[in-house]
Amino acid sequence: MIFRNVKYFFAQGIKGLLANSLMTLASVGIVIASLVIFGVFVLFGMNINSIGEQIKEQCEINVYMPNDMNRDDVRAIGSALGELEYVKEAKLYTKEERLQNYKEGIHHDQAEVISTLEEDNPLRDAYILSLTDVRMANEVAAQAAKIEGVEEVTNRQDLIRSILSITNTVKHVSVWLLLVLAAISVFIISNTIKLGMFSRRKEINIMKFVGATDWFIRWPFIIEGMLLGAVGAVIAAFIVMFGYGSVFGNVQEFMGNITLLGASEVINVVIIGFLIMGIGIGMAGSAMSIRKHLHV
Amino acid sequence: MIEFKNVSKTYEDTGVKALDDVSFFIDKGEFVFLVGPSGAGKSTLTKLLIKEETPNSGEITVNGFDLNSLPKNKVPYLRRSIGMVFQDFRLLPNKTVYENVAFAMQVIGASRSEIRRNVPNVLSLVGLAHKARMKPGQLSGGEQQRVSLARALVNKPPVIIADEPTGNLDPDTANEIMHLLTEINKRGTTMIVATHAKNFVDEMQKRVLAIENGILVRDEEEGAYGYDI
Repeated sequence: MIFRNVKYFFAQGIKGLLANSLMTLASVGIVIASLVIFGVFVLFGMNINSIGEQIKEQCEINVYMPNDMNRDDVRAIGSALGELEYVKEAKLYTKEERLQNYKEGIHHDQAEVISTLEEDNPLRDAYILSLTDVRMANEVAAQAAKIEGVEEVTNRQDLIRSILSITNTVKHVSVWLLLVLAAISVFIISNTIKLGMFSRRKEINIMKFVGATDWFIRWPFIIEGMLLGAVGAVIAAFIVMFGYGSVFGNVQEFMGNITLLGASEVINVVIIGFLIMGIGIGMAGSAMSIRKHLHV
Repeated sequence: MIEFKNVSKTYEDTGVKALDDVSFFIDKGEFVFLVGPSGAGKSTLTKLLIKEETPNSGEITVNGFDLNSLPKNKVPYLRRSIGMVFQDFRLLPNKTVYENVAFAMQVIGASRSEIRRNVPNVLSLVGLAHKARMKPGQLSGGEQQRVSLARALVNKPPVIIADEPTGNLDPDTANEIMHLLTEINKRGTTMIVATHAKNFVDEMQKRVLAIENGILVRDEEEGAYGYDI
């Protein structure tokens, strides 16, 4: 394909967009709406995924000793815990430390209540186990519970399970949503292109009898479709990134030591992904019209 | 140059037999009138020449293209070797005269310099250089047909097919167009003119192919129209 032809195709494609401005707006609008809805789900999914990963990393098993156990016995259990398979480290977290931590976490008004607790600390000594393989959390917890003197074992495996199931649901919904929204967008774009072909049928007829090749006749419509998709994708990316940027800070405040994906981490996915999908949808729309209505 | 060998064409959807065992040969540089009543098969013949239709049987050769074996993606190259002129001109109303002619070069991928060179030449050949910037709507019927002829000529095809070129024109203007077609033919372009214009056919004494009910009934040098209108 020669450069001057490419220039001609783009000029014709843009002309097509401007000639049919109402349908162009409708097409771009539907692409924006589809990609924004899809984008919200994808970003939600990506964050849930990342939260799941973080929780997995933070997946610690807490092993509690009876409140009245003396420190030597506690340490003996600690070394037994440290020898369990899949345990990377068993770290003692004494009841004094825990109370101190608790105090730091609460409001001043209640500090007085806490100070009464100091005399008779109700908290228990605990070991925090970090694992070499988080998937073995349930097995390690069961082993730990069997050790003589251990009072209680907690782990967050259940939380991970539920997060994984949310991630999966979000993934499935996103894929179906994308298919449905893409189908609607393709349909609208193909109608826009069809109208363009109809309004230029005289030109197309002349092109045929003076000997323009089929692809020469098709390209402007394919490019028109691609441009519809690309313009929609860029606007949708702006909307989604702007929205994400403003929601991000507010949500992050509530998330404690879990960090959400920053805007800079998702912007590439959003822009490149949207462009590929937008252009793909646009090409599919034109291809459909060309096949059905442009008999060249 | 152009050869039909036992060509028959029946339209499947209507069952109409448009051409029945038609054979003829047109040499390079000839001027041929194609005559016959409406619906006799003249249009089918032109459609077969540009491979808009394919025959049910028989062989067609045009400008070295064997149409029976010509693949679909090569049809545009056949069409570049044939200039088409229609009764209804088929000009683009929103383009100027210049642009209408340039369009025919542009869509076959001609370069800008070629377009700038050829279009003014061909416009002066048909006598419209001074109206290059006008739109078809500002021109008379005869002038519009000249534009359409310029468009057919601009890619320098060896053959021009004119389908009722004077059908929409008054007698004086029709005369001008026929004169122009003769001039172009004298420069070496093969000219095939399908027409109902009895007076021209009788007066110009060119070769006449007459078709009735799909059958080639006459093929005579220096022939006459041969029908009453």
